[in-house]
Amino acid sequence: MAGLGTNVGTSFSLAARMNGFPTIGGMQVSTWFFSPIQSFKGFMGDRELPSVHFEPIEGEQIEVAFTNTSGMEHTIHLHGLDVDQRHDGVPQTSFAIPTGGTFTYKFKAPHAGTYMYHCHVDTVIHFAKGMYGAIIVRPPDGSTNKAWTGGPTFDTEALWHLHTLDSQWNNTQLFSGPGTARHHPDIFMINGNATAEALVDPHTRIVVGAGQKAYLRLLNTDYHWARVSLGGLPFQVVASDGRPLQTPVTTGTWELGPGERYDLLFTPTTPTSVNAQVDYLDDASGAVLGSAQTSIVVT
Amino acid sequence: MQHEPMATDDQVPAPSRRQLLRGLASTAGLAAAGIHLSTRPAGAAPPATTTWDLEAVQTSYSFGNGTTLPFFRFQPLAGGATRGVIPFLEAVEGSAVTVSISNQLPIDILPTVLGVERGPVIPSGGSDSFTFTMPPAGTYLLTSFWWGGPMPPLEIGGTSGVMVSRPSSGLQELWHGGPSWDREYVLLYEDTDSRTPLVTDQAGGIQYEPDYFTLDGFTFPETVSQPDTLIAADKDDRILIRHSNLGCMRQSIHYHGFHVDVAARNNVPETFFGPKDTIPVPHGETVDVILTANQKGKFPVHPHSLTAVTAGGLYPLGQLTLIDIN
Repeated sequence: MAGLGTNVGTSFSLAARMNGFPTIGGMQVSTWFFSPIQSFKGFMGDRELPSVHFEPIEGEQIEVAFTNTSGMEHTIHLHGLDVDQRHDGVPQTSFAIPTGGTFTYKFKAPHAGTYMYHCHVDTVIHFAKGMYGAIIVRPPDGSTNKAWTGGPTFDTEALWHLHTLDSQWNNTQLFSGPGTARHHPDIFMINGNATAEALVDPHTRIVVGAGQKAYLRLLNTDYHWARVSLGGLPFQVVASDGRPLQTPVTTGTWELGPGERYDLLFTPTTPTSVNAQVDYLDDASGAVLGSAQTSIVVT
Repeated sequence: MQHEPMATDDQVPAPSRRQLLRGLASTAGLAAAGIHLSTRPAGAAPPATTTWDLEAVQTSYSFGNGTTLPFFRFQPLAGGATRGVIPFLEAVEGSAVTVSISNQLPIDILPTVLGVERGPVIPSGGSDSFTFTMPPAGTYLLTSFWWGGPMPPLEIGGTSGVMVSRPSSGLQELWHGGPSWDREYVLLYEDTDSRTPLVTDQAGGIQYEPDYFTLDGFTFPETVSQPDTLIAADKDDRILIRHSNLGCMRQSIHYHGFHVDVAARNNVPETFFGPKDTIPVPHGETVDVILTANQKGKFPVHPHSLTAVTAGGLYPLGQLTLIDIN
């Protein structure tokens, strides 16, 4: 069974896979990703980009058993979880896990919210090729309809990884170097799908009843800024990087920098069907490099 | 500014670079940017004038991948210090500051303290100065533009400096009544395109797209052997880190090991963000954060546009440094 709320616990397994070869937006690309040890698929058990997500419980001691089943060194960096140096997953300050090696990353899950993990070995290429995934820390009671203790509750929840691919990087580069100096994306995605697939992807599109509350977790797992709009539906930005905002703001668009996470709350009032859009922006000029869409259906 | 939502009544958005540039040399512009000049208490002695003597020269820097690139740089002659290789000036808010520049570059330049004062055009081989009142306590950026070149004037990468305005209270606080701190660091992010290394914009038909990145003029691993860029502190210290971006890339800076409190963006006290581990730092802007060193160890801090953690694509170089808590 896949989906948000189905991977809640205190103990998780990850394995490194370097053999993804999905077709995205009509283009076949090489991807590297993390799956559960017993699976060969990443996100939601049905794709090879992005990696599988997991949902630890706030305040609990968490163990992530990593097995390196691939032919290169990798690590798990627990982005935003403020772990200690040994479990930070950075080879320059701790160590990398060699081929065939195992290591169990341990941490106490902090404030409930949206985090991520990724490989921190030769990061510029390992991350770009797909070695990243979401971590949703659930409140201490393990509930999956509440953002944090005392925070907003919701009826529907969605998680969007915002990511692009430069197919030249994915298909021709194994190591960082001159070939990874500039990232020129030609595939624009949400949750590993370009628009045609993202519009109908059950793990991306949002179906919510009129008057119900939808909670959308955004992760910018790209190297470019991303601008998100929900087809004209207003939303409230309530949290970032796993912490509540001092002053939630209501808006119709939002921009995320690489590595940032934002949680949005919206309550559509009338039945409608709209397309949400993610624009990926040039780092210097702000020009739109490309976009991806998915659908929001209000019943 | 990255976020321009429908602002709520009590949200104080940070001024955008455009607003800052519009506000050059204009008190009204400063106010529009959310920066308000403080007044000296009646009867207080007039503050001293600080002179910042700089020389604009061409220099070079060797990156860890073996590439050496030319840079235009300001170098301090008198009246200031450096952070890394970047000129650094501190003075008390409300005091007078004179910036004096000898231009040894082959181009005419227009020095500018963003949001505060625009200097005169200084021709190649010439010298000139400009004087202004130190703005309210905070972090300010000196940059310059290529005057007489392409229109509109191109910002010149590397001719930069950081200016810190100290509160008139004399206390070790970010502003009068603002957050206090035990240690202070200034991190200036800059980038360059090796195809057109001396200007940071479209030039010669090439769309500027940086592939080399520096932090206070250094690249990793040199950043961790330099006292200005290795963020060293003791456990439980409160560390003030002034992030400043004069590169053309809009950056978001990720902290390993810690969430930090965003104290101010462009010197406007923060009312929006809670604790963050990834901090947006747009081009031409400053973000001051307070890190409470609540655990020992070594933790990286770096942009998450990961090409910025390379030199010519090779990782790990570029704008990566460490926090070292003993």
